[in-house]
Amino acid sequence: MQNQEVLKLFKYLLKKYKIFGPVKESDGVINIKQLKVATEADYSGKIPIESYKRFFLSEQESLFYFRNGRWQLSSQLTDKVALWCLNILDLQAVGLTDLIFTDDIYYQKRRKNSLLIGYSVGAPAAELDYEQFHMEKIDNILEHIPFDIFLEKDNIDQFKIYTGSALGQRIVRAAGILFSERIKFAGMVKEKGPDQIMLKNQKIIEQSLDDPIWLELGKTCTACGKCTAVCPTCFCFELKDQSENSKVIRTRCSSDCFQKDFARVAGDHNFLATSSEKIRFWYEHKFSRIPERYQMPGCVSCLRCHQVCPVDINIIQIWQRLKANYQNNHHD
Amino acid sequence: MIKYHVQSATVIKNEQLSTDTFLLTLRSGSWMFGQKLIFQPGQFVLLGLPGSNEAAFSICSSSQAGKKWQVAIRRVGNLTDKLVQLRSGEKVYWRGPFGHGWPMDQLKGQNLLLIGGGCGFIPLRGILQETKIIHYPGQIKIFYGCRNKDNSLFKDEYPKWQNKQKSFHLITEQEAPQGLVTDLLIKEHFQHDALAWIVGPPIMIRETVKLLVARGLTFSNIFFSLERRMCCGVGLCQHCAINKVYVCQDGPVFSGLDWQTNPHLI
Repeated sequence: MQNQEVLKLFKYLLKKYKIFGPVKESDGVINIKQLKVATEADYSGKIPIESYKRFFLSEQESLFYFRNGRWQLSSQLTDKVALWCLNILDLQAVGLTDLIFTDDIYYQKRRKNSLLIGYSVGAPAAELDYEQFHMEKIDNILEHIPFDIFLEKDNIDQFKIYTGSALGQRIVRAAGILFSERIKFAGMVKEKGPDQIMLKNQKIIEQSLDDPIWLELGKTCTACGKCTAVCPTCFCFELKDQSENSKVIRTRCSSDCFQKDFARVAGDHNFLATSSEKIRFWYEHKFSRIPERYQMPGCVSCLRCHQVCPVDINIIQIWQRLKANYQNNHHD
Repeated sequence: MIKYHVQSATVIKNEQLSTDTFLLTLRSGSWMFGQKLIFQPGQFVLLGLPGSNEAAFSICSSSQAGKKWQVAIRRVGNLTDKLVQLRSGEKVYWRGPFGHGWPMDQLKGQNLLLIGGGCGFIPLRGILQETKIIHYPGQIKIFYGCRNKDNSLFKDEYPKWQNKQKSFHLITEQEAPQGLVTDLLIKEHFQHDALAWIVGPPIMIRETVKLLVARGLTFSNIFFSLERRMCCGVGLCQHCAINKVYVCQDGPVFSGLDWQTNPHLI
């Protein structure tokens, strides 16, 4: 990566932000790591195994604390971070969590302290890896994802730079970059309305209660929860009190729907007792509850869940079967 | 909006209702704004103590009682162990109210059937304290199924629920005449346009709804309140989700029509 404009931008950001981006390890795995120079980053466009959600939704967030008979708001010290080379799918995930946590002061504070620098390398080499299996293709995608700056690389290593926020514009100007194009964010949902494939899939999931696929998956799935750890749109949590010195801290701790007590109530009744119920619950979150509330899919097709699954549960294959089973039962 | 911030309430009274259940009378007044709890019958609060987390409890008193309100607490774990031992003057911390309550606007003088199983009877007791119910022009039939008489709640109030306007029917699983709440319903007469409000374990709700429909009630006149693990109360944490609904926000009260479109509700 030798593009002078991009190098200038990175150098400028380094003065103001901690920069994190995709780094290819010696074993070929792409992780998100702190970057000191632009050339450390991976520019293949491949999706890192970990998502970027930890930058906005901490594993353990102190919300407020109780001391001397009073609850008080916890102070939040968050570093200013620049996320370098976020791919489009991860930006879609950030756009979704922006909607979900729109009035959550803790999320918003972290989000305000983060600069999003998107990156695209054009059509991926292995198109299946990025197949938008549940969505229609979006032509004007940059208008429907949040970013401050976006770098688009063509196949002769030339970069086109876009800005998506006033902050992004200021940074690009201050870094001495001469040419950039301003993109106006038009919201996560396309102008013509919610995605039709998403709506169809929502219907399929909602009518899939008796689909034998869930029982079958329940026999395979080990309920390890690895898929929830890497999924950029998994954000389940619980509120727990933790004692520290002379205070009790009410903490928002990340959780996952595969944990055994996730839906257990007093009297020991567990509403998500089997792996089959848990995996269906996971799919319902992505393909039914999120579309119902936010008019956008809860899955960005990053396929990380399949990559980390120890028993090779493949979301694309599951969808192919769900759709086939639905068509066999409904001839509409 | 700070969603998880709590208000304080002071314990006014703590009365034992049964072997393991206690009635806490609380008065609102907080460290921040001193807000009183304004709620709809059927809504719930998240109530907790510092160091013992929070849990969901139905409010079981009248919504017109100003700053005083009541919750009935069954001793089942760490938090409830502490809550039932509170003495007057001590503080609890709450947030809410959450969710949708009972459809009070549908009360038009028709028969009202209040059907509770076990701890499910707790939220129904609050309805019976509502002014609109006290002066209700129609018949109110109360059905309560529990394990045994020692375990039954609000015993002192049963005489008040036996008069020209109300009838109260109790059945237990362990004492004669043994049976379930559905056994009471089989024998009872009620109008086909009656409203039925049900709270209890899912299997009890399911069987009760089926029976009522078989006896001529319409799904649109049947409502039930669901129990789920509640954590955030604002439809984010996912613990209380059932298919596409969040019990904390879309419920806890659902209608028979909701069940028809979402068979996994109960």
